[in-house]
Amino acid sequence: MLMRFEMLKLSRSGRPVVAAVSLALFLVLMLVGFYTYAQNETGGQVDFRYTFENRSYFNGLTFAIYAFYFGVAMLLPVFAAIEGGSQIAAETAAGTIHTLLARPLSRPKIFLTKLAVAVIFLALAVGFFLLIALLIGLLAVGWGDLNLYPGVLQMTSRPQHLTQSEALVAFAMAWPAATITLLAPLTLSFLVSTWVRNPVNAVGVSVSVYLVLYVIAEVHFFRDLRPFLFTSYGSYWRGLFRSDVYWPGVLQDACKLLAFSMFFLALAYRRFSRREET
Amino acid sequence: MSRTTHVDEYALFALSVVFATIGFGWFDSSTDSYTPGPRDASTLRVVSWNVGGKGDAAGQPLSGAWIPHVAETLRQLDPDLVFLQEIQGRVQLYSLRKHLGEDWKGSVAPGGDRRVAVLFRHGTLRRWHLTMGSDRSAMVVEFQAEGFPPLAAIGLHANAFSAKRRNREVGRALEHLQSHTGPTAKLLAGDFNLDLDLGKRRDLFSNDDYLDVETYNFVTGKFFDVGVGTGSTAEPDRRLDYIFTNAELAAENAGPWKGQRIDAMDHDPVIADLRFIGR
Amino acid sequence: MNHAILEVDGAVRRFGKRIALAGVSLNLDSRKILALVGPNGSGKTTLLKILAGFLKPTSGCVRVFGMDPFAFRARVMVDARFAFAPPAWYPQLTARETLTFLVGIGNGAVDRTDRARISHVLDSVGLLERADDRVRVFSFGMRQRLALAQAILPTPKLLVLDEPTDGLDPLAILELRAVLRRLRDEHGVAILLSSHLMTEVEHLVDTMAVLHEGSLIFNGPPTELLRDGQCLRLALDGTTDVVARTIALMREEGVVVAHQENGYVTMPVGSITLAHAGKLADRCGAVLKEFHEQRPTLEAALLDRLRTARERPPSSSGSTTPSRTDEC
Repeated sequence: MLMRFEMLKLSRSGRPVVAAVSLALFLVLMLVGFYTYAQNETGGQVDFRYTFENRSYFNGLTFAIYAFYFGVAMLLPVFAAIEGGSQIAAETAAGTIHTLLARPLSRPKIFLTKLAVAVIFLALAVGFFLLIALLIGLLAVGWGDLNLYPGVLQMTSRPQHLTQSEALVAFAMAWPAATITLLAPLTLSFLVSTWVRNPVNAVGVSVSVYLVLYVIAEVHFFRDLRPFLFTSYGSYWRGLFRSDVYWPGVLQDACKLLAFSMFFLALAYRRFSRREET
Repeated sequence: MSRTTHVDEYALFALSVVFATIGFGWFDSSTDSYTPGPRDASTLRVVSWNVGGKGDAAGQPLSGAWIPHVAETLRQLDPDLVFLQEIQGRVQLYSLRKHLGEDWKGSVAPGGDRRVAVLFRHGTLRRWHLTMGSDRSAMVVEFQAEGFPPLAAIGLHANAFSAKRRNREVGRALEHLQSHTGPTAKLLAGDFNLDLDLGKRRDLFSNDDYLDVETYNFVTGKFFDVGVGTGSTAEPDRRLDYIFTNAELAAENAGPWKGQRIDAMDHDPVIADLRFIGR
Repeated sequence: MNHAILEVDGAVRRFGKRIALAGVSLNLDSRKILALVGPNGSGKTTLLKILAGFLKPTSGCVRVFGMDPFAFRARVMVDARFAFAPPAWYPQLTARETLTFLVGIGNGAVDRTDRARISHVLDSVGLLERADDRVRVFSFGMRQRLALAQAILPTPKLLVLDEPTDGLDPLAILELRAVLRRLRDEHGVAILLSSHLMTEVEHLVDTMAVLHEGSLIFNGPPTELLRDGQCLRLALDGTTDVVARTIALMREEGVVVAHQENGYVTMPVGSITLAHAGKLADRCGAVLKEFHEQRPTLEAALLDRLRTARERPPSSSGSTTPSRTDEC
């Protein structure tokens, strides 16, 4: 019953619509950028002659994976933080947490139900984003085999060639894998939302922490800190886009992310189960 | 609805520990390891080694003091074809050959005091020099080991300071090799100075990094990088040395033999055991 | 062992250096209505939150149905219903959905009987016609009615209402009183309500607990507070000397004069008879113009109590350190 209650609240909150529209708009912008980039890179350069870029390399699947890369690294963490931050901090700010706690509901039940709703929302958002990216790729560019080369986005450390069907299987696996990636910012914002009593602050703090950790993980100067930052492993799902997936590495990184997520959750749960409602 | 207990909390912490144990320590997913095995008579062993070292800003070529070690390492590897970088000249190569043994033959490309050289034992070798428009040149060889088909190869030491020059040098070498008539099996080896171990080097990219990536992708669009995923070849933890082959050759085993650099040397040798496809 | 529905013994709650509750003790049994009264910041809401298990007392003992409400909040809430002020609702849900889910959360499911009861209760609080409107468009009064509706669905053993009449029109207040009386008399519900409106308290409650700066300054039936506020008022006519002499004579006779000003004298009820007062005035040359018992309103009696409490030096109750929670 509580689950239905939370789902109804979520569906009526407007957040799903805002997320869907934002993600779709982002993809349209990505498409424009994609065409511009392709034009620049394949337009021929005099000074820099030997380049691998060519028109046959780009197709709808290339668009989808690059859009997904940016989505998972930059955009979806914001929605994950919004959802995580909205769950408890928003109830606290509105006073409705009192309405819930004034019913025979245990705190674990409230916590876990809210977590489940947030995770479902996140998984649906990731799936929606991926699906729309693939559809836009299909309709605007057209699918084909997926060729990946090492590059600034570090999509792969060696050239990869996946047939269209292999690539689609990889995309299907990337959905849950990216959801695991985004669990970390989600649970981080959950943690923050048990401390902060305003959802805007909870989301702001979570997004800021995520961005700072993301940049630190990218800067060479902080390389010794990387093992301790969940943002260092956030793109592990790229390992699925290989002609020979190295499963131990993929699973290991997934476990690292889950370890961070569970740790954040445990701290959040500890705080929520002990805190007073002033 | 029972009294507040902390079982759930402990369960979450325990799950975190379990995942961390699996993720960080249970098994080693690293692929950065390679040890050359015993020679297989059915494969051709190729070695590329920058035998120079650290010194001033530009480094230093092979030191006479390191020659016995280089010779000993090569003797252990027992390769068919060796490409060396940073050889000072003919005299130094001769000295190295003396340490290796009478049956070793070789040649040095023209240039300054950091030249590309080639060494081989059994078989026949024809060589040309490919001018790079700088003090360095690449060495083009046609080599046929006893009992193996011929192959065409280029040994190269690309510019260490300019990504654009590297791009031109590597691109030119590859185009030359592709257009080379004769043997169909082809190989490109050397110190390319492309630091591309992306798994380790997750950094905010500079323009040079971006150009290096392009150069690397230009090569791998046509040739295979046989030592990919086997880790760094030069200090400090950088992958600069490569052996690329075309589709006529397949690597049975390839990678850097770590720990072979001594004193101020800054590269380890990169080895590839290659099989001729269809043979 | 029989417990009172609600037992508070020496509850202290500090927020940093500030003492919100300074050793409050009170009980509530079933079939009783207790009003928690006091000015803003007196500690009413803090006490209600402690009873709901939202806050822990710093020290002292609090039991609801014999249980520590903080540790056993969910179990306490099976039979207790709280409505806090201001009422907080989910704006995106309708009134009916809100009640359906709140009932369902307790029961695990909502059957046809529950749905009928929900409609009945919505009707009884005057919200049936707006039952399918989203709470977003509700006025404050309508939200207050919804709070009352959820509080009696299903009928609890303990009902705690925080400022229940805020935002209600006079007719709704009358209806609320009727509902609360019926709950007490027909269902044996123990009701605790915090309120500012003395008229509401006077006609409804069995007991009043008056909080002032975290301390309980009165705990008893409203009639007792009224009785405490009653006094005898005399008006003496004469020169200043004559009046002063009369008062002095009264004091000599053992009469406790509480207050005197411009010939008007107040004293506790029963201090002196009319005949005796007239005789003493005569003896001093004064004229006894007025002699009557003054009956204050409950509000005046409360204000008087609060004024007295404010004038008194800080009570020792604030610094008391009653037994710790786990010792009760």
